Amino acid sequence: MELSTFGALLRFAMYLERQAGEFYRSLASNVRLSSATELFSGYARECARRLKLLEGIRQQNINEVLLEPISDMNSRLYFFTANVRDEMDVEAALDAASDIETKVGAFYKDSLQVAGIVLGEAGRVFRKLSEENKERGKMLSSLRKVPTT
Amino acid sequence: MSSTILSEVKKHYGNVKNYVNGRWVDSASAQILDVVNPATAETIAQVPLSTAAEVKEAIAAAKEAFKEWRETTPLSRARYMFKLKGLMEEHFEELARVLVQEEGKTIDEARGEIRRGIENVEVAAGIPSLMMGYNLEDISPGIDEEAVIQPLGVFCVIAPFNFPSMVSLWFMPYAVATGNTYIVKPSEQVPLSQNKLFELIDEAGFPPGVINLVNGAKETVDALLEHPAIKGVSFVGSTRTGKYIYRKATENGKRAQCQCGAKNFIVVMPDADLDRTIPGLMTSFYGCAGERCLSGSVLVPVGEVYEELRDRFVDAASKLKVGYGLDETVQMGPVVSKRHMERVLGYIEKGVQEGAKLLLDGRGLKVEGYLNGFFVGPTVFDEVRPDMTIAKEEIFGPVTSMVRARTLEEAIGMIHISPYGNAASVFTSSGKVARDFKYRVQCGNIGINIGINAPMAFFPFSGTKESFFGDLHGQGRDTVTFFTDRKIVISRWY
Repeated sequence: MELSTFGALLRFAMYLERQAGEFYRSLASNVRLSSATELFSGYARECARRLKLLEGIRQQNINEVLLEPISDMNSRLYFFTANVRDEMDVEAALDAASDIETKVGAFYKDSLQVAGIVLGEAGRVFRKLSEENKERGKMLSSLRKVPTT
Repeated sequence: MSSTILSEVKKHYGNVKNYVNGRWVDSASAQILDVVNPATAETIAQVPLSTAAEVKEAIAAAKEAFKEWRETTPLSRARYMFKLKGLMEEHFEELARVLVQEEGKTIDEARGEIRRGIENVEVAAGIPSLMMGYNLEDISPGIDEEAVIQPLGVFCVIAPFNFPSMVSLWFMPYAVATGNTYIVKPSEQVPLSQNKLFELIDEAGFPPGVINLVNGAKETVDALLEHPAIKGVSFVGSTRTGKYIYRKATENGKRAQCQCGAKNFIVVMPDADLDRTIPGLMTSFYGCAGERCLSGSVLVPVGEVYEELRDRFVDAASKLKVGYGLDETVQMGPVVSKRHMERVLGYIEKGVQEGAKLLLDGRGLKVEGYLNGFFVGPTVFDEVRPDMTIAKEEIFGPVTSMVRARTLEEAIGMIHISPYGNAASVFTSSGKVARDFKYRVQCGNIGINIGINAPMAFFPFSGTKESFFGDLHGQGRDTVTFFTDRKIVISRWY
């Protein structure tokens, strides 16, 4: 789907946060992953906070003067699989979470690059969210076992 | 991801009521119009054209309410504005979607409009500072002089179809915050946004009679303009109607501010950054389907930028997604009505007949799923001469007329020949050109590398020539002055 307007970008951002939140909630409730419950619950809460932040900026930071059409942003690059399999172990969960953080972070970063003018003040929030995704990605990597060669 | 189409707030809003003296009342009028969703062509409400007697009732309520309201402290009046702002934030999405349904603009444009309306409520909430007077001690030994700012009585707004929610808020919050009472007469084509806003005004608990809503058309307007209790009128709409209202209001001893039609020229210099310019031009010419009074209408490439600008402009315009504004991926919606669509199509036909070259033809556009909608696609004419109808008259639709100029001087000359003076923009990398443009061009709202020069709530929405009649504009300090008088008190104590 072409993300051709300010509203479409924000709507997709909210969709990603909802999906990610749902994913982390499922991980947190999976008994096989009890050692990481606290981490995933925290990430789920973070997604809810970010979703609220996005709802706020869609309402507060829209500037009619800057409503220029957006081209070259497509949602297909940022979709991720949010299925939690019952047999998933911690390593697999961390891998999936890393993928989500990478894709969501890339979405915010690319949006800023392509549509920074249209985003206006909302761009600051996108930058912050992208940085948070990067930090979470680093954290998730650090928790994975060192691969054996 | 689920559908990008937002749900409609309601399919049918029923018979629209008036809001008078703090109560919702049915009009007894036998004249009733359909309100039509321009994307679907479905009737979504019926609006009565209120009678002169009903207008008088609203004026009487406002006049009675003025007695106590003007004695309410400015701080208390400001608190009503804070309450209204809070309610508008709470119902933001609903307000925006109703606006899309009745006017046709895209959801982002609707959100932008609601935002601008809220910003005016926010600015008016600062009224204790905005309406302070001034004084000077010892104008003569032992004698002091002061200017006290006071409200006048009952004011009204006659609002247009293109910004059904925002325009009344250019005026009403300032009028009411300064201690006046008010009557809103929305466009009969798009009464629902004001209807929704008045639900919030009611919830905010303004005292009965302070803010009133009367739906209607010419008879309603005439009753407002002829009534002696109305102290002033604000109007936004066409030049023809604006002249009528200004004349009639001032003949009857009222203050008047009439913001009217436009024919906006957008000048692109050879040194313009086209990567940044083209998106700005798209929103200028095609945002709100060209139905903004700030919309670009005549595109003036200067010198050698012509060919590249033409090709890139047409390419970008041809790619705009046109459709129902509740689809968040849509970039341009329909025009407001079938009659208006036919008017815009008539101008395109006229352009062809007069010999302009049609580079992009928006006629006959069909939007899948909305085949009955009032859609006109982005249209571009080249080789337009300044004497052609499409270069002179306000089209108020998604139609661009390209008129080449050899120099900036020639471009400014074209702007000055136009009877209108609402807005003009220049796209350039030169500070000297930008400075010359803003210094010399006789238009109220100037853009430098901006295609929609929409003044924020704390600045006046300017305009000159046939685009404005009056001396004090809407919004900002101008409008506070419009709604108040300065009483001079000279005092000496023994």
